[in-house]
Amino acid sequence: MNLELITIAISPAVALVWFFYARQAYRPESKGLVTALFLLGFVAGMIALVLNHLVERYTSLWAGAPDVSHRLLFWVLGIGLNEEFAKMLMLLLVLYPRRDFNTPYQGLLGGATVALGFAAVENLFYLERYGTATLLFRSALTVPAHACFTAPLGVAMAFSRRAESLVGKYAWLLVGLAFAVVAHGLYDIWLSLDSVWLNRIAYLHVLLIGLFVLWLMRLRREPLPATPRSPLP
Amino acid sequence: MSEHDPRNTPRPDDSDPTPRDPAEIAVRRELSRHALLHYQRGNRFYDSAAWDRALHEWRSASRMWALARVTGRLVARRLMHLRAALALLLTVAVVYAAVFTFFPRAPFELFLLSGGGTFDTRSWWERFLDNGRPQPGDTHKMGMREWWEHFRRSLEGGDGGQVAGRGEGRPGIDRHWEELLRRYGRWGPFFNYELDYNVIAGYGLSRMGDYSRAVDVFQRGIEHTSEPAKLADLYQGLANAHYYQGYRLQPDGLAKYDLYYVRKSTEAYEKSVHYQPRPVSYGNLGWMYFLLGDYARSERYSRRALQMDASLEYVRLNLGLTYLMQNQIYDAFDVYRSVIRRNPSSDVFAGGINDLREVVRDHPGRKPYAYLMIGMLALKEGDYTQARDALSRFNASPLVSQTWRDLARRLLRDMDASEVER
Repeated sequence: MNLELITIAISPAVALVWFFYARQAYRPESKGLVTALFLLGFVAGMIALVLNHLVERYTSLWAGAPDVSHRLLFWVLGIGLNEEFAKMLMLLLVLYPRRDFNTPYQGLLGGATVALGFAAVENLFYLERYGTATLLFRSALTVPAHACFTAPLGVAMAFSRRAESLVGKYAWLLVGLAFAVVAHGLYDIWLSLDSVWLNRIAYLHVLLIGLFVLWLMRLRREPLPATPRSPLP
Repeated sequence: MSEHDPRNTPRPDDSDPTPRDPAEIAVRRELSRHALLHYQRGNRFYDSAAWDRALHEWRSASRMWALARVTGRLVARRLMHLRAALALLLTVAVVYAAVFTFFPRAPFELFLLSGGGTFDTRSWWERFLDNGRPQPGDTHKMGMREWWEHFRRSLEGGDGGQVAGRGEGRPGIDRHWEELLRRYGRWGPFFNYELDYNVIAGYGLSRMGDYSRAVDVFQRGIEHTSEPAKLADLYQGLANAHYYQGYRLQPDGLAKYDLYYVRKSTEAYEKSVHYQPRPVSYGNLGWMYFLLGDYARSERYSRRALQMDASLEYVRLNLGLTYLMQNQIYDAFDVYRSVIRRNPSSDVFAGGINDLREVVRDHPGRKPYAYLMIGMLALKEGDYTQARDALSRFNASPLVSQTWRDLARRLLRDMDASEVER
């Protein structure tokens, strides 16, 4: 794999990171953090690769399972859960404990960045395995799809940070992950069906979630929370 | 004590509601203890009329109470984030545990996946990633022109970008015919501007089943060609035609071979690999020597073919047969297990089972281990009737060792359990 192909594989993800980064309303997130999250997306890709193989290897859930329900569950509990959980793990490790993580847009930017790092490394795998043909389709559909699935998860994490009670914090995290898993799983289900028209529903699916993410991006105008940033009164 | 005694003023934290979080309570309690010490010290200074020092201590106590309230809340919040994250991780772990518990893989499949065959030359990582499932794709890389064709077909809604499975199957004429057409024929200019009508005609005749005329055409082509690559193609075609001249399909689906033609085919394959060593030719040469009973050469050529192209599953099965005929049961088992783990197409398994049935037919009662291998392949294919029959026959044989008998019993048990689950 030469450098040009690697650049082509990664550039759609980088462009989308810039799109999200450039739309911050105030107090821009540090470029170092965004770069770190993008690189951690690579790590998430590796973790998801291992999780996917473990599920395929040790359970009866796989893409070609004779039982249709097993096939459908594979896309949601296999691929969807594995990939979104791997991305969330990175966010929980780096973004969630930060004391200055308290606005929804920070979560949206963080979620989208990790997802795009993930999509970039996935692009490299697909390039290695299936050649350049897949890059065009993936750049148009799969790369933005990854960002759209995980950005709401990041927003939910920001709301979790703000919640006062433990139950509230946990509930927001769970809702965010569940949304991402179901959205991702459904997208994979559309693509796995043996019909060109049903496959095309995946485009509509990504479009709808994309509109939802655009609506969430309006949250960047929200003022800073009232909680004090310094421990001293 | 006067009415305006500062000791009568309420403490700073008296109006603060009692926290419910244990972490916040702990932090508050610790800071409050220090604040109380300052407060009591201030009282003692006040009693001894050291007003300034008393005021200083009370201020310190006041600051510390305020600090206790805020810091306790912040620490508790951080701990709460940690606990929320841990609770989520626990939830995900429970979901995974449920997935792995309620959707277990069939015991037989796991048995085949466990342990690495000595014949398996893949890296640890490749073996780890081998999930024992058919993979939608291969290592083929598309060039720009092929990419465009693929893209156009996808837009037309043709194959939807699906790539064929990795199974090879026995090297039939159709497959080779297509390959040669691509190289020399109608699709030739796309890849290769050369055209050899003898090759095309020979394969065309072979495909129609007119093997005698195909042999004539190939031999004429050999007389008029000096290019090594074309000679290799022509000899390979000739060898195929000879092989099918001697191939006799029986009503039971098994084949018998006329060894005269097998020898002629072997000679032609030897010449083909002389001009251009190709994995398929070496693999077929291994099969020819197997039919001729020269198992040492069969093993050598099969190994060479696999070294050149490890994806030739039918050659791997031939190698297993060769081991079986030489009574190297562990090696044979290893090879069959590695084929099962690599998940080739059903055609490959069907070919392997037929070859084993031919061994059983030609050596009645003397090769009981062939039944074990038939049982394994049939089980993998989901043909429980054939698998149960073969494994029962294997167990009934007096010539097998207890270890292998135990394995056969285990496979039968797994099969029964799997059927009950169904």
